Amino acid sequence: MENFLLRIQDIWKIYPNGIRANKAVNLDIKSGGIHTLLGENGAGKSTLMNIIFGLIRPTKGRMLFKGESYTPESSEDAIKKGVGMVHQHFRLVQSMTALENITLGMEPLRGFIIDQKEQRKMVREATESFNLPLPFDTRVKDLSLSLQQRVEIIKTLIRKTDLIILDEPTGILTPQEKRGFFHTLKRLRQHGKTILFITHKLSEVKEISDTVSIMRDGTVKDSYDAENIQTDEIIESMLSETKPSFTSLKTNDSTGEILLKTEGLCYKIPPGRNRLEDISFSLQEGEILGLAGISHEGPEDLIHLLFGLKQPDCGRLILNGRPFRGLTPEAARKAGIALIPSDRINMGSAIDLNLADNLMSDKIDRAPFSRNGLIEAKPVRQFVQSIIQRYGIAAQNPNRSEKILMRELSGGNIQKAVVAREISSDAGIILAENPTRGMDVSSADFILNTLIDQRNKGKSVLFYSIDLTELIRISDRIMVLSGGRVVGLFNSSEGLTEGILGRYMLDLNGDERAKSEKNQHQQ
Amino acid sequence: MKGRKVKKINISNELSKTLIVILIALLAGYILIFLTGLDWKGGGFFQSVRTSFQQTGEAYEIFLSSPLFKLNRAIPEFNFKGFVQWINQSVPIILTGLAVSLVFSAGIFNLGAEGQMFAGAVGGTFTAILFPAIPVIHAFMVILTGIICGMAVAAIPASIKYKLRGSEIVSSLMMNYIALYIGLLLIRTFLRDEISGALMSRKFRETARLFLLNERYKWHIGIFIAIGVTMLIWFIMNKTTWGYKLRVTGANKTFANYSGIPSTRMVFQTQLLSGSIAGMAGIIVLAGYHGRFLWVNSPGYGWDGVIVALVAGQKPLLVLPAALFISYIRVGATTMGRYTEVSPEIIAILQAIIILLITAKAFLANRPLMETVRSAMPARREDG
Amino acid sequence: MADMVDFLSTSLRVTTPILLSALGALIASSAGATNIALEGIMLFSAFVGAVVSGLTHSLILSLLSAVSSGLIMTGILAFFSLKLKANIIMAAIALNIFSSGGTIFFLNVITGEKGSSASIESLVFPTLEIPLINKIPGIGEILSGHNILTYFALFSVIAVSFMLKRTPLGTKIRAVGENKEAAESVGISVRKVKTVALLLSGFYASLGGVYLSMGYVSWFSRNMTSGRGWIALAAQALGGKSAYGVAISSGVFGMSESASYSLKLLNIPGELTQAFPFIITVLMLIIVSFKKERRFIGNS
Repeated sequence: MENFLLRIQDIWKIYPNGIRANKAVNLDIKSGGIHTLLGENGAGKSTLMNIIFGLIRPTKGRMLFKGESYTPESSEDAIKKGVGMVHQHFRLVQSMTALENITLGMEPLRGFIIDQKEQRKMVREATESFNLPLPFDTRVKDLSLSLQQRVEIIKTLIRKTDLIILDEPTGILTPQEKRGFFHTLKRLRQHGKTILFITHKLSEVKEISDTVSIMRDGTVKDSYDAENIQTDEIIESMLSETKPSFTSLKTNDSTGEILLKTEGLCYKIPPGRNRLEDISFSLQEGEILGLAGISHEGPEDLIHLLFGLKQPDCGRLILNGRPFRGLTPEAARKAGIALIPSDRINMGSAIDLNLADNLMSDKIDRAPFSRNGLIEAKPVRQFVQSIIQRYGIAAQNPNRSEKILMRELSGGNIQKAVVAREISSDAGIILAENPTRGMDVSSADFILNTLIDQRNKGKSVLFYSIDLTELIRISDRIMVLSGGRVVGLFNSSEGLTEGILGRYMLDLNGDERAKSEKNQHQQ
Repeated sequence: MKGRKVKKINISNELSKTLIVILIALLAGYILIFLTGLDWKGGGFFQSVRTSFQQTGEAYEIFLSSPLFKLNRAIPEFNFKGFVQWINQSVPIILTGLAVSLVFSAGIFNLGAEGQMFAGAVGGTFTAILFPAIPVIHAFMVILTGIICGMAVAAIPASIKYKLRGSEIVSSLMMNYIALYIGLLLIRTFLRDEISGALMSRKFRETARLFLLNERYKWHIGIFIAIGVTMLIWFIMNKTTWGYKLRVTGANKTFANYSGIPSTRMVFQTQLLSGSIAGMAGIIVLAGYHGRFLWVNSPGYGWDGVIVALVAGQKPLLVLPAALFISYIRVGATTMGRYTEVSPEIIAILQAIIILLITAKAFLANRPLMETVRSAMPARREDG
Repeated sequence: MADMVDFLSTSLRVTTPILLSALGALIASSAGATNIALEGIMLFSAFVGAVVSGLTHSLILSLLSAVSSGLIMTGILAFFSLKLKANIIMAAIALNIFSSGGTIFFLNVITGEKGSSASIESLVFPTLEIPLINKIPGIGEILSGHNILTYFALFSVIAVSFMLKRTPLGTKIRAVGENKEAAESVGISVRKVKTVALLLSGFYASLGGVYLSMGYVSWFSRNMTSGRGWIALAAQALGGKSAYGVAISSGVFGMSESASYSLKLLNIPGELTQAFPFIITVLMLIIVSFKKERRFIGNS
């Protein structure tokens, strides 16, 4: 009988608006090993982690920690029981020193003031026993990211946690730092700690794990022991999704006129790292260019660059033949670009306004909707009604449809409204970020058909989806990003499988990445 | 409250909550007057309670009825004087209420209505005294000066926010006092009435005065100006693209930017518009009723505007009844103060209760609104 | 020379209420909870202190009741903004409005007057002579002989600074104010910490108010705070995150108020000196925002 530190049994998390973030999750984590949880964005990993760490309450299901029932009400609870977590985005107070951050909330006292000597001693013991040296008195904001991460790790260790959850810890590390980080993990394992390591990078899985579990669509699909890891199986598990067959309604092929072109675009994030590097491609009219890649490693930033939400640090953007600098969403829309954003609630809609207001936000200044600054109510109403009809938004409420507040709509209807608004703006270029995520099959099909329809009408669609099946089915060409660079550009989707794309995306060849990083350092 | 039945927020719900809050405030006032009316020193307990009940009842009667009714030998008849007072006193707070509603609608906290109003009054005073005495044009210029000065004062925190992204809360609050002191300085230095003992300006020229609907009680046409401005703002907010964009900006700035609406520019322009309306509020009172500048302190219309905006839910059409209500209870309280021992400052306590209860989103809701929405939406970034 | 001594001594006296409230503002803003109700809390505490001391003739009782009223008001602010999700600025405005009218209302109920409480005999907090120092010419007159509240204010500068930097409460306050998630990740209750910070700010604001009605004069008069609560906010905005910075800016404003008394002789209008703290704050806000903008644009 194995010694299980944490047992997760039939955990569900269903939000009030129907979204099922975790479905029937079963996971057993052995004591004293490194357990990797693999999955894409939207797979439900973070939700599960937050449940384990006490930040979210599960809708149903139970957990056992060290054999006893485990129901943390808060992160404080979780820590007390022995569960610690290092978040993807660090939870550190930038203006305080490493020392202060590590002992935050548990400073040793002498009377009612902080015993600084004891404080220093505590932290030194922790850093020495795990061999993780730190400059104690440097402010966190002056530390490198990998050192900040170390502060976070010591923060959990000093609270005597047995299970340490690491949420995508390697994203901010250079290859060298990553090697050091893996050494650290192995050392922690030697000390008897159990590590739950969340990532989407297959190469890391092989290097460090004892056990691997795959998450997709809110549930744990498979678990393997390290020796038995088969790359192809894992890719299958992670990425493919059997959907009912989808007949492509593609008609004529593109005439080839280029609407948008990029040359050598790059985008940096602090502290100077390249999120995107040397991106050059073009969008032709009447085509769907599929984009594959891990969302927070490039595709979303690229789309935001093309819409003016972010500014490139080098390279050129050429719209309709003319180079464009300092693009803003206002200018992008005027140039005929529309965006279906992945964040449909906070960016794609204003939930306190009604449906009609949401459908008109990008086009109110155009004829016939307004004239000389005055809104023409009738054309607006007619337009809104026709859109609601065509897209079947809030179909169950035909009368007051347009006056319905966005917050009263289901997630699927909100997304339909977002898509409806963007497509109805008659843009020449449509940027779509995961437009079908979280939607039921028929709504998803409807949206995909709409995109194809636009393509047939001569529009250009840049379609980013984490669902590779969708991507292959409707794209004319497919571009794959990995590690911020274009690693593959397929001129047709013939013969492509999820497996092929997956290999490109998942950074299987860690050396490719290391090579390009080395070049970057030398520049 | 499961599934898709997230709490509905339509007009009738908001309105009924506001009405309940007002009733609570009025009740609290009643209780307060009752408690302070009890005779703690002498007399028996029950006698004391009975007397206080009676006195409180009388006081509240005067409080709630005096702006409209008065007793002429025990027969209630229409109180024209009270009515005029009521209408006149509503005027400035209709305007400041509109001004504050505008900035709230844009989702910002420019609390400078008081200073903008004061600056407008000072500027208008200069025009009222020094500008040539051309009928009608003169009065018009007086109000125009008020508008410009109010806008100028609003421009400072607006520019700081627009160009430098600095907080508008602090800068607008500071401007209130800067406008107050510099305004007083200007009046005292250039336009002081040497003859009168108190600190006030010289009389406005006749042509600067607003037309009076009733000479005796000085009922001026300010109310029509206020109504006109209300209709104008309503029109702008609901029938123009600019108003639409303002509402979108206030609802969700990220969404506005994404939709191509220049939210920072909208916010800037809104503050200017708000300042120009606030700038009218004070000078209309002076030109309509008093005939000269006579404030030695800031009269507080700007803060009343905040209450009016809150009670009206920032809707222009509701500003009118909200302002009329606030003004009504104020006039009633003043009369009550004259005929009873209850001091009219009790109004401030009622106002405080109203503000606290209306702004408490979780009050009178089954669940705090924001929490309802937030739990309905899964976390966005860490969605994996 | 005697004028200079006079000037500095008056400045210290006049700085006291501003400094006390500004320290309160500092604690609240360090926890990320802006308290703009200082004006109202000061006014109400001034009222309660004067009246209770007149009725009970007990310094202790009047101090306790004044501070309690300040704590109750901030408690209401904390409750409405943290628990009932009211906007903390609006709730503070409500308290300010309550104070401006409520003090007069209750003054009338208790004394029958509406202008001031001079009809009842209130007490004054004692002054303190510091032995040895008061013998030094010049400095002795500046530093010695002030009200004990003034010395408490000076002491508080050190105390508050120490509290924020070297006590666990202070560390929690700073953590909550700078990064809520970081605090929550180690199990700190953001709401509790903000409430404590607000209560402390109410405590100091009420002391500032009590000084006005019982430190130098012995009565309460309507609107006697005259905007000092707002000046305290300005002092905190200028002084930044350090108690010593706040002490310096409070001192500057105190000196400008003191100067207005002497400058009247030089024909510099009183209104300008009264407006001075606010003008300086706006100018500083512009400069600081300008610097931030430059840095931001430089980086992107």
